[in-house]
Amino acid sequence: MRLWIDGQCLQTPSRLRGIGRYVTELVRTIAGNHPEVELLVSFNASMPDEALLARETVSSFIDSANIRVWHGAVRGGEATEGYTLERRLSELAIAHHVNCLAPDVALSTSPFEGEGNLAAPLLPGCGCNVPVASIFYDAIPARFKETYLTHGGLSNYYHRRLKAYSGFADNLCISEFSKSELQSFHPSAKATNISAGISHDFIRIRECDSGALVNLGAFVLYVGALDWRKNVTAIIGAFRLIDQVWPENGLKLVLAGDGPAELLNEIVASWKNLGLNPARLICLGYVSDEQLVSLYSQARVLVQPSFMEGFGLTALEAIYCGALVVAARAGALPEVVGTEELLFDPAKPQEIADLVVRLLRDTGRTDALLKGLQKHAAQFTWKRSAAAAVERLAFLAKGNERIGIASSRKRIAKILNGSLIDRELAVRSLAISEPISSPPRLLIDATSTVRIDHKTGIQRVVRKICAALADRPLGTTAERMFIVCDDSLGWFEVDGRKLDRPQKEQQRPLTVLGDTLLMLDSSWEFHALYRKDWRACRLRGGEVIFCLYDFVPLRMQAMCNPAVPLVFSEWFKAALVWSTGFVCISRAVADELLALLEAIEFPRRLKIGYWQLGADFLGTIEALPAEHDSSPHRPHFLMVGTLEPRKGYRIALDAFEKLWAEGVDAALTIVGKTGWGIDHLIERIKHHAELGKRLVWHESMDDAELSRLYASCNALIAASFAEGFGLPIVEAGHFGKPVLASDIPVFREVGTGAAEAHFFQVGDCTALAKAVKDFLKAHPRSPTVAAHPTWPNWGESAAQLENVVIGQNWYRTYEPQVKSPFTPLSELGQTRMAVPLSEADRAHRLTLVEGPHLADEGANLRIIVGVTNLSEAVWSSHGPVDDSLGVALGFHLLDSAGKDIGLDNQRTRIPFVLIPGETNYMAVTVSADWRAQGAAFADIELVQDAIWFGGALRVAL
Amino acid sequence: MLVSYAQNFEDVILWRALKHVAQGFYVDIGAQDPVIDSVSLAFYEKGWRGVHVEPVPAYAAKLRDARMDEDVIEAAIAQSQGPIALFEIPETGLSTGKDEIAQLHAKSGIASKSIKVTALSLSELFARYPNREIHWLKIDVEGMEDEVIASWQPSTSRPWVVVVESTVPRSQQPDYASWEPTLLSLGYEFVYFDGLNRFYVHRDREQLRPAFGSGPNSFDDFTLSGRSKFTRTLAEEIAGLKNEVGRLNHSIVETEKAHTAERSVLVERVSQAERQATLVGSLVERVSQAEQQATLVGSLIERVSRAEQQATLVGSLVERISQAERQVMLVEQLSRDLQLIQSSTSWRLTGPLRSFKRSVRSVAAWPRTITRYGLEHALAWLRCRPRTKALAKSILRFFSPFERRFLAFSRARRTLIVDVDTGWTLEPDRKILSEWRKQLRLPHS
Repeated sequence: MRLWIDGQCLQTPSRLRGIGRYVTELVRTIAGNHPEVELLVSFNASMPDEALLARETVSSFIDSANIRVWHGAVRGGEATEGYTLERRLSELAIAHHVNCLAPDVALSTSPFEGEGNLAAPLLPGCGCNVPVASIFYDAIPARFKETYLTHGGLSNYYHRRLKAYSGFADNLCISEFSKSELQSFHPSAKATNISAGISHDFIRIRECDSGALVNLGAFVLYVGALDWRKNVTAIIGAFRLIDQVWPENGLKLVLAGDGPAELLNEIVASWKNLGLNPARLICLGYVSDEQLVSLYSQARVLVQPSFMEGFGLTALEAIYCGALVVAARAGALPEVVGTEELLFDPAKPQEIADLVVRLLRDTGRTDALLKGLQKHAAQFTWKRSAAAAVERLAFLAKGNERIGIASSRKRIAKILNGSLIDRELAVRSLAISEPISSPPRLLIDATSTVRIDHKTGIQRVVRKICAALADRPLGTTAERMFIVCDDSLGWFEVDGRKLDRPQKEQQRPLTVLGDTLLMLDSSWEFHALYRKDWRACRLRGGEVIFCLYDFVPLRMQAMCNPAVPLVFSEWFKAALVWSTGFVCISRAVADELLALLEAIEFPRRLKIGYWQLGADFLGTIEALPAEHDSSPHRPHFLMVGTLEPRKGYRIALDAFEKLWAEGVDAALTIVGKTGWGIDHLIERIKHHAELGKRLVWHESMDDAELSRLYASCNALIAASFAEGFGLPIVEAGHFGKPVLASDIPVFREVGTGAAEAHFFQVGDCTALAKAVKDFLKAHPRSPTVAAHPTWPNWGESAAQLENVVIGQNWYRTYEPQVKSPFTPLSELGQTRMAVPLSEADRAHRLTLVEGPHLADEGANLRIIVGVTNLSEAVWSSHGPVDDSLGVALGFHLLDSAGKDIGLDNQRTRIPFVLIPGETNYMAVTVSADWRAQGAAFADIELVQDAIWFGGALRVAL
Repeated sequence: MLVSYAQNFEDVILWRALKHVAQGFYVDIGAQDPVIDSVSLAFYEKGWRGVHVEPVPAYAAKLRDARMDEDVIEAAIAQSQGPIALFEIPETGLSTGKDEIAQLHAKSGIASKSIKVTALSLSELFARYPNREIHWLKIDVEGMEDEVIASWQPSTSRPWVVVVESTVPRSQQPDYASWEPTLLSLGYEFVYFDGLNRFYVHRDREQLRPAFGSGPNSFDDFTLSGRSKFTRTLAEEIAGLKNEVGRLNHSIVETEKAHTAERSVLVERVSQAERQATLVGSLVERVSQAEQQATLVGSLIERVSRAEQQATLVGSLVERISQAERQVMLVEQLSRDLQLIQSSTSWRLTGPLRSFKRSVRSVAAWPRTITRYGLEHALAWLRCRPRTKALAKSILRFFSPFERRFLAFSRARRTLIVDVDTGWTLEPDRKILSEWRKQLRLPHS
């Protein structure tokens, strides 16, 4: 049987209340116990963030392909706007949506939704061809009109919905009381009682039963809200009466449950006014389920004095945990409690007092009573309720003829034509609400590379992967498209092999549906533009996967162009909000990402994978055989890559200067164009004594030349501080050359592709010098190691990537420690400072990495400092609202006598977060004017707002 | 190395002669100060011990203090026993027993006062030390030398060297004729005159003679004590330096005191600052708490204002409803009127005329509809071809009245671009959208 469920009650505020939990439990139990039922659920895309969160919640028991989305057109709640044309349209849209999905029966889970929000539940009489059943909870607003239906709008809305119940094919009620209520309004309506049970999570907690609340003594418990209907004042009145009859009762009253402060204050005030000791009243506010279990098991008795209850879940849970319950003779409470002895009239506190005294003072029958309660309560299980519901719904499903999409369109169109609904609006809403039949495509973003090709590393990867993917045969993917979007016109397709700019006037933009969207390129500055599409993709059940190349802008912001870290961190935050998965270019980067997510306690599940980049740029040129050079040949070492601070060329230069000073005869060849922030090193190289002799620098080189260099060198040196990949190492492996690399996890990983790899301490030129010396001792002549082609080429790399993204072959899935469903999407965990840090949380270490060097054409001095977080707390430069309480790197300026001349200066902010144990390389910029004014030292120190951390690093300018 | 304290190097000369004697014995008559101008101090320092005869009480007391293991005889040497008058000139070595000399000093403005002192003869003095060899005897008695030497007999003591002051006090005028013969008759021979004293060696001590004759020279290996007038320059310098040192010490002490004071003040201030810092820390915490409260209040205010907005909205809606109700009543009234008109005879009579007019009008409107249809399609065609559009625009510029109309027409026909920001979170599939447009008979976009 195909059963469709209206999921809007999981998007509105009902999701946190009884209705939401009821529906979740019912659906989950059906999914768990009835494999013959195929469950479909739909969410309203006009509440998009809630739709995504609700999707997360149900995805554990409903198949992802069966979670659908439609779009309502309502602008506001029915109680304020009234029954507008847009609302009518939305009801038609959801009916059409259900028709298109063609289930056997539809279940409208909460027909009262939409009072103050954009929900439009499925109602009868809207052109739906499928039999529609509903769930009826209670009619409390109708019974207490003065309190609940305070104005015309509310009243009209409520009565319209209540009237609609007569049109449903069947109504599932949550208790006998609920059923009788429905039948009092609609005598001819069909109604079935399916009651309810105790939630699975609650049962699980009770069985684990670990935590015990602080001993509160003997107490009477009340759990629930504090509004008028719950009648908490009756308990307070009862307490005074108990004190009169039984002076030494020693009982306290414990109120558990969240409520607005005004109501709580009223309760406390009335307690005091009756002359009761304020120490006997304990208000706990919000309590977790674990605490609730402890409270139930430790209470002497639970009192539920509501004037009306649809079911009475609190009483049931209390009985399950072994507490005595006394309840009002109102609503469905008598059904749950079962024993007449334990009921009282909610209008008479005297009866409560008598009952409590009789039970607690004259103990004797309590054990028997409790056993009776538990036996009676055992019949309320979700298994039973689900079975009853399925039986009823299966009955409805018989003999139903389904219509196709075209006839549904005709039907709805006919209804529309007879109304005044705006046609443009209708067309759009109905078109979106129709489920997409086309299978999901693989869409690959290549925006940055297509716009301007700077030939950076990332853009090279994008080109190669796109070309390789374009050539691959389609496996399980329906279609593969390479798309570009750099303005508000939308996404345009481009040819994957050529990646040239799209002709936007001649093409139509494509719509992102429920596809797999792979954000392969570094389109960081466009993230604001893409948000709508990411959201739309995820709403339709598609996947948004981001490609993460490295964490350099967040970890080594000092070694990047200054504009990049901010843009990258904004993009990264947006990616964390919207992505379903990250795919990284090496396992090291994937591990870094996992560590980061764990440290900030990211609240959602995230899939993390990695794939190996290919390396066949020299594939056309065969690896030249190692030549035995007869002439005595000075050993020379090669370094390849753009000159920037991150690549560690300064380390190599320092190391080789050391070696030349010691008389070691070795040459260093550098191949790479000038990058950013490297002026001082360029000057050093240009004016070096050994330039042209033992130090050679090629700014550019064609592939043939480069492969000759690879073939003739002794070894490759890779001295980077951080990398995402490490292509030169793989290339060296291709030529069978050994590698001297800095000891970072990425190089360890990539080094398996090299013939022979030796590692040295990162950033330490002495270690590199020693490694070179050891290497020369071990290999006096150029080693003749065979070529080591173990690294995949681009075709294989593209296959790996597809395997991860389409084949769902993920490395790890990050799961949050504490699951809190319905946390808003914008929550990223602990990425803001909330309080000033304590002494222990300020533990850190500062090391001088480079500097001070002149930068910005001599206008500033840059000092690069490594900041290590040795505490257990996560640091960030953002405070709860703005930047107050943020941690940043500041500095004082001192003159040569050690006197302060500039106490506080421009601070450097942490781009995202600094997690415990991690080191960030941050730059401190001192204006050169200061040096002219006499500043001799800069004391670099961490600061939070106005509190300096101490342990300053003194650097001579 | 000898340190010389004597006024005129007497001890240097004596030491030259007598240095071979260990722990010798001397007699110093008119010893005066135990340090300043003392002839015996050098010998005392070398281990010699002797006897001092000094009648001036003040000096005698000083001698006793300084030379506790020596005899100090507070008496004058004179022939007659019994007290004699001494003219004391305090704090100088000029006290004398001779009246004329006192008068002489008085003429130079130096006053004296007369005191009575005991006296004994030299032989009596020598008799006190019968078994001691006296190695030198000095006589410096300011004019009473002849009395002293006259009182020598009948003692048989013969000191090896005798030194006698032999000038008139405070002058260079020799004055020894009265007593030298007596001395010579005792067996002494004159060996040296140092400008102030005459040195005599007993003939039994011939071996000492070669030691006398030259003045104090570098071979004598001595240094000046610093108390004599020969070292006045140096002494002044030293005194000045000592002053300076004392002053500096004082200033150091003062500075140190000031520093300790300052330091304690600073320590106090530092601890105060630390207290302030902890205070600030707690204040920051409270501030952040307060800020949290503030944001809470802010959100509450927002909610209140939103509720107020809803209320005003409701009010306006109520108004609109009543307006709409009025319109409805108006419409009902009008439709009733229309019905009346339409059911009237005159209307029915003019029926055929109206239908004729209608048909004429619709035929007349055909060209218009056709042109409109054609223009709409042309517009849609042009929109997809930017270059042709540009060309058309430039051509149209020549026909300005038509241009205005054409532009107005195109602006009115611009397809409704439903912006995503106005609430649509999804884009429809294009095929499905066009199907629906067909279904609802909307023009193709």
